[in-house]
Amino acid sequence: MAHHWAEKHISDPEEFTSWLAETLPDLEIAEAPGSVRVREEARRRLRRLASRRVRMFAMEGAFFSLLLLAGIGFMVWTLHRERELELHQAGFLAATSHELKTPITSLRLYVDTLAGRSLPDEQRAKLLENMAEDLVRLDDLIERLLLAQEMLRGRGSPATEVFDLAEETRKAADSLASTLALGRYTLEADLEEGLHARIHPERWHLLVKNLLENARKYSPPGSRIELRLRREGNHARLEVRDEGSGFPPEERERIFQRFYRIGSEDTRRSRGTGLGLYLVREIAGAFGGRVRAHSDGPGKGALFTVELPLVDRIA
Amino acid sequence: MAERILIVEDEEHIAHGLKLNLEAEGFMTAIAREGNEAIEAILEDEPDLVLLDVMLPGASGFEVCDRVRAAGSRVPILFLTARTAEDDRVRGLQLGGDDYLTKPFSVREVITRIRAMLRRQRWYLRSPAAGEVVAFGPNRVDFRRYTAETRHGTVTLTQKECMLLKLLIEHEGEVVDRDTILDRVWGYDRYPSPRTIDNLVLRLRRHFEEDPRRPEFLQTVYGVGYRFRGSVD
Repeated sequence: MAHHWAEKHISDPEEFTSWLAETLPDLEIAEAPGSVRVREEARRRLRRLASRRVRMFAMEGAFFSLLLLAGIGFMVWTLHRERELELHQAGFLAATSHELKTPITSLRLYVDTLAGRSLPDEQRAKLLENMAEDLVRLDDLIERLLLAQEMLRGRGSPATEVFDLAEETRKAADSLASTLALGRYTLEADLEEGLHARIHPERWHLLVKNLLENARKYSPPGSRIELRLRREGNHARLEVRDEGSGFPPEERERIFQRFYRIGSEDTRRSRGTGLGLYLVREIAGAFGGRVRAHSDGPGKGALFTVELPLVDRIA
Repeated sequence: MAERILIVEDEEHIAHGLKLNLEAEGFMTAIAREGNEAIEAILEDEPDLVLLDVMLPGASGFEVCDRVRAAGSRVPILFLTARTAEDDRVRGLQLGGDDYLTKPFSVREVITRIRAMLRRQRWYLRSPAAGEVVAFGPNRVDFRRYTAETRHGTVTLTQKECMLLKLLIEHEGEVVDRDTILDRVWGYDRYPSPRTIDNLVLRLRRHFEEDPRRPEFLQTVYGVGYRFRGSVD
């Protein structure tokens, strides 16, 4: 193999020295009779440079390796999260379509019945009334799901307008009144007037409805659900209390997680979307407030408390 | 006498719609709104058929079916499910349900299915000429209890196994063709795969034959169907 050597035959020391000086300028070579001088400083400098270069490369190498690892790690994590989200999305979609099928099923039954049978007027009227309720329910469900989707993507713009809390809370409770009555639940509402806060009304409705739905879902038919709104200092406090299955006290943070649900596999997989409480927390947070859950244990009911900063209404 | 149907459904409007239509068709109805309530109603009141929603508070529909079957109830069960996933449907049938309907369903579909199921149940409950216990070879089959004494000991038979066996025994000596088997034992217009009958026969042979590959009692008539021979020639 041909090596590339620069060769200089040593015949003339002077020539040789000047050639050396040319070849290695950093060394500061000087000529002296019978010898070659190298500046000590220069030699040291050169050596330092060489070792510095090695260090630099080593550090750069390490640095870039770390960067690469971090990059890969980040990608893996993102992909993992994406896949998790995808799975949850699929679960969300499945649960969603299941929720929608219920009012559609009763609507279909009623349409078939009205079309196929002649009924006394009173019964016809009852069926039509039920159908109207189902349509409202369907519409409401879709609105809530869209809102949920919006909130999942981000908290959105901050609330700027001031609303009457009792009025908005009442609206939300009223829209659930017939659903609750069907299950023979008793809703006790006690809403203090004159409380105002900066909220988005539709999101507040969603928060209240989700809390009430949650209470209903985990309570036996015929039981009582309490809805209270009170002033506490410069905060408004909303409480939803139920006599249902409660939860283990150590779970009181986890129940607000996305897709967390208590219950058997079948109930978990299809009753609701698993986002109810998660959205309650997101919405409360978006309005500058917070929510807490409390239960004395399974079978001992539950209490959910939402606190919101109040705004003094400018008359 | 009017047949009694138990509607197990927690959604009020659906329960109401079903009740209205079933009563208009001459059935008597009762409603259970929760899993444990349903189990009690089935075991104590012994309805003639159960419409069972899968999504229930308390125990799920699958659990209800599992527990009443374990307790010995053979009441025909028609699952109502919003889930169309194949696994869920198969699971219901494996747990001992007889049929399923996916939501939303039409009134006509419900009524037709119910009538078909009741018809099959009535046929099954009519005792064969020989009585409710049939003996062949070392085997004794109790069609009421769905059990059999065999050379391998006592075995529990599934609903389908009993229905097929009964059908073949009722036609002892004659060939029963596959269409008749499908109609009598499955009865709806969605037929299982062709292998399903074969697998069922294979299971029966494993219980009752000394050598399942050379059956004495449950014979194959190739290209046509199956035949039961009660005594060995």
